[in-house]
Amino acid sequence: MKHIICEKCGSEMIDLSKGPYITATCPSCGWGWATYDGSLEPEPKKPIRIDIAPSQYTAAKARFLSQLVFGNALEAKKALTDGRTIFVDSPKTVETMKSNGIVFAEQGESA
Amino acid sequence: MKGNSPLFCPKNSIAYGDINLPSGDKTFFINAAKRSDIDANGYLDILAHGNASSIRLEINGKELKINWRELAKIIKKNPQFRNKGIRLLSCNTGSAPDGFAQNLANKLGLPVKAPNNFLWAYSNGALIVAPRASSDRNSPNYKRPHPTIRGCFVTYYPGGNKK
Repeated sequence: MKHIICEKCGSEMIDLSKGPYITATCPSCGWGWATYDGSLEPEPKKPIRIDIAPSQYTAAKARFLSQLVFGNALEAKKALTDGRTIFVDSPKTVETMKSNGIVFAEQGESA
Repeated sequence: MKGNSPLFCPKNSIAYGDINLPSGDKTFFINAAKRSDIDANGYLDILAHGNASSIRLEINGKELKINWRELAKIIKKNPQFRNKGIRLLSCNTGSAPDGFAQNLANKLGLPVKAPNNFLWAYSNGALIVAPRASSDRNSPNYKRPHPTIRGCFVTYYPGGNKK
């Protein structure tokens, strides 16, 4: 891509655009602009459905699940005792749950 | 949704007030804060990144898209709100006759002014409504406002009447 030229002083501008945020600034005279183009926004990730299996409560699992998903030890305990469907947005979270011994059924991406 | 009025650009479409909802890159907000017509004529300015159907909001570092109903709640709770008109300093929020601005006007029961194209905030505080200078993504003009073509702030009224 060719460079953006400053309309005020003719210098080469610095393109600071990132994703939908369009920004350019002139290092010589300070002229610049900014706008937003929502159409350049990355598509949001689809959540992954996880069915946590019941009857697998241990304090260690509850502590881990509380930190990872619920932010609440009681909710985590209930989910491990009674079973619960949750949605997570990262495959990494799914892998972390597996590696920490939590039993669940993964339903893949859900709309 | 109400209203299906043609786009119309009044000459003196300036307006007023200030609720800042920064998200993402803050350059737009820094530039727009230097504008000369803050709080003119009683309209309340809402600054946010947006498009024809939503605006963005950042809460505890997490970016969210919100619709006009949620924005209406935020506006009503803000002490700066005096039940007068709203000016959206938010890209493309006035670009669709049945889009964000019209729905916000319907929800609040107040006139809402909004740009019908990209809103560019210059480093000196000047605001212009304009398309890109080029639609070619490989052109340097893709990331600059068009030098001559201008959009405008369109006023949407509750119930869809517009002038």
